[in-house]
Amino acid sequence: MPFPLRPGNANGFYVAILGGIGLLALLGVMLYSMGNPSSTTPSPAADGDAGSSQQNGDLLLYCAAGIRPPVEQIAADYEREYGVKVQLMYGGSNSLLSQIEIAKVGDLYLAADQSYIELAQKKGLVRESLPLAVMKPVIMVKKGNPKKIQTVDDLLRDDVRTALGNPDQAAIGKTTRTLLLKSGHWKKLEKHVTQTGVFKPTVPEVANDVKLGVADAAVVWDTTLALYPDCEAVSVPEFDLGVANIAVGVLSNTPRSAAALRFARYMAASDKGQKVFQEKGYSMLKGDPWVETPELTFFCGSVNRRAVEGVIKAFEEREGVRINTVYNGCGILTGTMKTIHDQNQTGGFPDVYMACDRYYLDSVEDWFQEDVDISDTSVVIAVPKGNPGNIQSLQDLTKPGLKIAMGQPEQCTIGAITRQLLEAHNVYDEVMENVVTQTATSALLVPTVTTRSVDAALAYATDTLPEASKIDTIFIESNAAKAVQPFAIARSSEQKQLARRFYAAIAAARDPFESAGFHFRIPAGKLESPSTTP
Amino acid sequence: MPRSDVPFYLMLLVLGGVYVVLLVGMLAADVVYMMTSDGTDTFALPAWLEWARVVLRPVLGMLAALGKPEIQYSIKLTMISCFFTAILSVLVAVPLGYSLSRFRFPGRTLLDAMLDIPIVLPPLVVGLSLLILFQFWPFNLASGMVVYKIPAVILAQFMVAAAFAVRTMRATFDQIDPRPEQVALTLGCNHGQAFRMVAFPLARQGMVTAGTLSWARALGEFGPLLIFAGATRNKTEVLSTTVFLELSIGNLEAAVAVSLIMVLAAMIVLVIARVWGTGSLGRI
Repeated sequence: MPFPLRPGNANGFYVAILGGIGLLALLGVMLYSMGNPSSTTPSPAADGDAGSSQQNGDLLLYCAAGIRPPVEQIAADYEREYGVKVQLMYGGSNSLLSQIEIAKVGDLYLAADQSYIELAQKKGLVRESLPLAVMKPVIMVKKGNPKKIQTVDDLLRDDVRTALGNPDQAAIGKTTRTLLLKSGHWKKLEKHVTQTGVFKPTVPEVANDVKLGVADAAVVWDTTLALYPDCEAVSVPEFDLGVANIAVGVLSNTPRSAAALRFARYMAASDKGQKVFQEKGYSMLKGDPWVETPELTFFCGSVNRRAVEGVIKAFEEREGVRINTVYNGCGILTGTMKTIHDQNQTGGFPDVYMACDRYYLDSVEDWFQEDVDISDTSVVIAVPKGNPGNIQSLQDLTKPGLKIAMGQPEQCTIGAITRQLLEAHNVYDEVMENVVTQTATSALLVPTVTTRSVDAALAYATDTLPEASKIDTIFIESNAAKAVQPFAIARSSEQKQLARRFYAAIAAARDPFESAGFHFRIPAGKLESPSTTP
Repeated sequence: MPRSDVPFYLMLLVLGGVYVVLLVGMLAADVVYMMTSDGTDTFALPAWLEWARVVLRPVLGMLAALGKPEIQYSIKLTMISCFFTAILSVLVAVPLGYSLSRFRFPGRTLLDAMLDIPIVLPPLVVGLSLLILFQFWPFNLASGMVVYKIPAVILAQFMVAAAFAVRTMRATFDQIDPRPEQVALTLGCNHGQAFRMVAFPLARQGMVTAGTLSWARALGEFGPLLIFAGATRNKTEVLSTTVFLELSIGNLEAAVAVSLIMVLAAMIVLVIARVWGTGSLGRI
């Protein structure tokens, strides 16, 4: 062993250290230039400053790896059309969910099954969910079906080795278990597969087993077969009900919700993303047609205004869409709808309608899908502060000489409800003698009292709330004194998916409704969309 | 009279051979599998090579893979990140290995055991732990620049690769006789000089081994990458990610082709390192 004190060796240490650090720096620069490509492919939308704007404008989509082919193409189409780059991060639906939960970055989450999106929604990670396509389980075998597998019972044969998705890890496994438990095959099949076959965590893994010949059969999605030209599908009736919905969810805390939702809408658009899904062998859903900035026409009874105004604004900001809201008395709104319909006008018919009361939905019901009651409010007697006329009940309104305001029954809901209410209490004719003004919308009733033009007005409790300093409110003990506000989506709407998300926003707006004085009817945490079948 | 050596040699051959046969068989099976797939038959071959198409299929498959821009990116990122990780690992492993080998200090056994954790920990958990780490101060300040980006690739590779480098350096310094260093001390060197001039030059081959080992480990790294750096094309995609992405859409041929590219790259680098480490071709 030579004692290394020759001149050449003495500073070998420094040469090594400096060389190492130098190499690190060099490689670091190369890595940096790969991470921040400034010269390569300037994106068409970036105006001038490609390098920095690209980092901010990129969308990050967590994507179930098995759905890569259509998603990759849609993202490429979108980048070409709009210059927005979508970074696709692949993984299993399950592990992506954990990543979203921990990393708290990203914009969108595409799962192989709606159930993952729902789980994410429950955890508060995902807000909106847009359905993209559907798939169905099938039995996958080698081309020509060498083992002649025709039914689920064939999978139990001793000479058949089956690969299944793990029920706790893979959506396909979960669906298979649910369906076969129903048909009574599961217990036997589970035992058989445990002994001779295999459970694997993802669809591609079980499909690859069949491709390699390790397994004779596997349960996969029908769409998986498109990727395996040398294999074929055997459809069995047991699986017909097990449809999985591929859906994309928008993360709750995305910093660019409008951009994220726009790409989500693009993916779900019937003439854009869904067409690509269809080309790749997926069954299509009925999505909205693609519009860069869609608009919804919203006919809204005036009574709801205070509650929905903020919701509309927040929705517009989050989605990056426009809601053209028309507030008016519901009689006028339904009249407008009839006119538009009778004259076959192309535009103008509302996409969504929230009436002041069910009464004003009944007459136009045929043009709308199933509706949901959002809230209700009572009709009260509004009198000037201090109640100078000492009015305590409906009966008191018949006192001669009183000046009373009420809604026009033909034009607005409050008028119609008031008439019903008075008729129910047999005081209609007598009260009418005191009525000095009939307003066209509920919004004009309270002002008649605050300006002291009348001694009493029959108005919505919600309308009296903001003027509590100027008026007193007398509640009426009667079931007829209630207006119920339903929400419905028009059958003719081109943007039903968007309308459904708008509904979801309204149905989640308990606080604005309650602080506007409404009684909110949607139970907390329950989110049933009006008519899930388009 | 010496008894025959044949049983001894036979035993060496059989026991060692089993493993080597399995290893070679595995690779050969990959190649044969590619020969049976007709995915690359759209490639035009000159007429005089047409008869050899079946044999050439694996090569064509690899060429097809090499032709894709995202795979080119993936190869480039893999190579640069692996070298970066390897150098970084050695840089960290030398002082750690030397300290563990030469010094007795409180908590040494605990530290020694702890350094094996990345080897023991399931790969996915390494990734998950890193992801969690970057939610806490002060790491969260850098989270935007690291998580799901190239630095995450390095970090994920480094966390596991460095553990192997430390093991190697520890063993290297353990094998170097401390006596020459002690002699150097008596001759007037301080501890730093003794390390620089005696131990360090003697550890050269160990460092090359540690470097190649961590390079190879970084190349095969996948689990932590998937979670911590993500599988994003043209961004954090390395070759192991490519294999995963191709497998997940049932493109087994491409997955095998990329794996073979990885094997070839690894062979080249490992052989070069071995030559450079030992300074001679004869010992390959």
